[in-house]
Amino acid sequence: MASPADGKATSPARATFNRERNIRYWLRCLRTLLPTEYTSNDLNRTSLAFFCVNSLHILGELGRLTTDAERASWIAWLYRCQHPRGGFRGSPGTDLGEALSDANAIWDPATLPGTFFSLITLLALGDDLTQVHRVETLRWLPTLQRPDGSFAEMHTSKDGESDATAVRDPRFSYLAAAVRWMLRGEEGSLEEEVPDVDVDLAVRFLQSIEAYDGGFGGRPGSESHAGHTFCVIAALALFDRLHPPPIPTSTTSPPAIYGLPHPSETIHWLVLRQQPLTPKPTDSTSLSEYHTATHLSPLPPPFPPPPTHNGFNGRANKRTDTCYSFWVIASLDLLRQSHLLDAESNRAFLLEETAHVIGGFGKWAGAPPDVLHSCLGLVSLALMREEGMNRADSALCAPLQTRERLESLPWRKKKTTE
Amino acid sequence: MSYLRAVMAANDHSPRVLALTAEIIDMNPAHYTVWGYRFRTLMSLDTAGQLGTDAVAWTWSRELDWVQSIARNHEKNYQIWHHRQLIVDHLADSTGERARTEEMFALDSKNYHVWTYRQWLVRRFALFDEEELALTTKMLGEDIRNNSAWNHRFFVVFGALPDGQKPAEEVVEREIEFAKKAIQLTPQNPSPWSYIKAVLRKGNVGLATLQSFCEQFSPVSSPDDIKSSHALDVLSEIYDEAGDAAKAEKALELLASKFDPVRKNYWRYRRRQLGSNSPVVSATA
Repeated sequence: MASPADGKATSPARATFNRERNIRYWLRCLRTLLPTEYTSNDLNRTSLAFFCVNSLHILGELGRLTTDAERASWIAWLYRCQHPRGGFRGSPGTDLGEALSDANAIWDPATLPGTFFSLITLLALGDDLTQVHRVETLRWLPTLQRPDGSFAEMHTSKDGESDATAVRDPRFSYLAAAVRWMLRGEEGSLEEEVPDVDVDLAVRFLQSIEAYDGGFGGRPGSESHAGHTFCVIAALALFDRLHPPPIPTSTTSPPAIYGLPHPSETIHWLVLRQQPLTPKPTDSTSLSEYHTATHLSPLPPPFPPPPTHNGFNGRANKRTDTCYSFWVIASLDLLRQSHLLDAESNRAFLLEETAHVIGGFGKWAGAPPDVLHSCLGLVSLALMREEGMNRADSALCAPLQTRERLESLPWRKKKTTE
Repeated sequence: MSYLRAVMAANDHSPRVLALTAEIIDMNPAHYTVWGYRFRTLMSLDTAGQLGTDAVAWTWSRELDWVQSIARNHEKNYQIWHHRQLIVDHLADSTGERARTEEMFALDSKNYHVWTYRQWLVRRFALFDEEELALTTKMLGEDIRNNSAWNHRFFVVFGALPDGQKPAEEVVEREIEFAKKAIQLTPQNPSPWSYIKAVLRKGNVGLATLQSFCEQFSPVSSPDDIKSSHALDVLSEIYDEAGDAAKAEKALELLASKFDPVRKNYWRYRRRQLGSNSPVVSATA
């Protein structure tokens, strides 16, 4: 059998990250109108703000290339998304303004994604979150939790009847864990007793959605998916339940519920996500057909797989895609196992296959760049210590500076008695 | 949009809301409150006995047809399936729903939202039956690498078992044979390998029973005849369990150096762990 065991001799020089082109891409996204493809994100405008601001922050250029006045106006815009009853909207698009009442409040809800993206973007922009309705937001979180431990994205029903939404997956557990972690702060930092979410129950839900191969799906019985797997692992990390607790000081406290049910299998499933490129289309299929033909599984890799351009797929037998570089690398990093990956061939996949000529990253080779894939492509490179980028925090998908800044804020510290 | 806000602020659930919300959904199906508003309007018209009358020429069944047409144009949207689920749950009738999801599988046989809905349907109406199993057999016949169909098969076969109850031996045997046939056809396909390992665990059958089956694809002593990295992976576990460290190391080293070098760091990590069998992070149940 032909064995390209040592492709290094023939491979071209190591790709370079085109910094200037990416900076231009992000400044364009921030300052000009986005293309019509983003219309369907109109109600999730805070997430678009996060992808743009966070990416310039990862590149270390946010403070240098945007003005004080611009950052102040973005901060003001985000606070306009804040809901008077706690949390943030996904965009000002649902704001009922003066007309808001108990009777119509469910049509103008704060949402977990809106809250997470607003808080983390405010931090990046240098805000100290003192205008955030901290206590109201923390009181809102447990009201979103369901009896099975999962979280609703928002309130969809009146007066505490059970929520009508069927959307039930670990994305909202992750967002709830992140918002709780950001706003609760150190034990003793709140001036009053504020009800908390049921962390044990939340962890039980996360453990219950493990699939039979060690990955995690959206619900019990669902197929393993790298995005959901990240949400499970990062939520456990933010609940401080991923790793074993320190040796208990008291023998009377009940054992905490923590950890992945089968960590070795989860690691196995995660490392199996790294895959070579799907073979190029044959003459009989056009490139666009090739890109849309996701219902056909890719052919098995040539054996052994070429060692040069290995990105990550999100599920077994799917194509590699830029965003899964983040979901998988961040998951393994939280498990302290990212050294098990082939970082170099992932880098080659991103820089030589999905990086776009106008800057940013597409989903896969030839796809136009979009803000989600461009941001996650950057953060995944930062997690692998790409030169010239800020280091990143896996659980928050943001520069370490964002976490450090939050942890340094005075309101988040334990109150002293004097 | 501002018209919609005015309607919502007044909690207006009159028939005209159906046209208004349809227009907005058509433009932006990811609008996260408009679906709920539409559902509540339909429920309110239904309660008032107005659906399907001269005043409101709209019915639940027309709604389901319309939702399907939106789904065909917005395959990545999940709110659509949530809306469909609320309606079908309310009607307590699954007639035609399997066919509708299969129409979507013809467009994308791995659409995660459609599979999630299909599993909800199977649970809600207790459809863990022959027809459901036959669907997975048919879809795997069309694409043996469709991991969504493999996952659904596991769900159909074992999903209705009460916690802790053992599956029937002949079912376990049948599924092992089913996976083995798929592996024979595509030894380098990860899906049936994950599946067979899960079936063995579920049926409480030892991994070692796969030894000779794996060795036919990946004889460790004859590297030129190796056809499956997954077989080597399973064999390394079998040899380790049997205390044959030398062979287990050989299998892992073949993976690292030749048959799956992209994961060489992982295979060597597994090699260092041989004989320990202790997980890195343990869990409490």
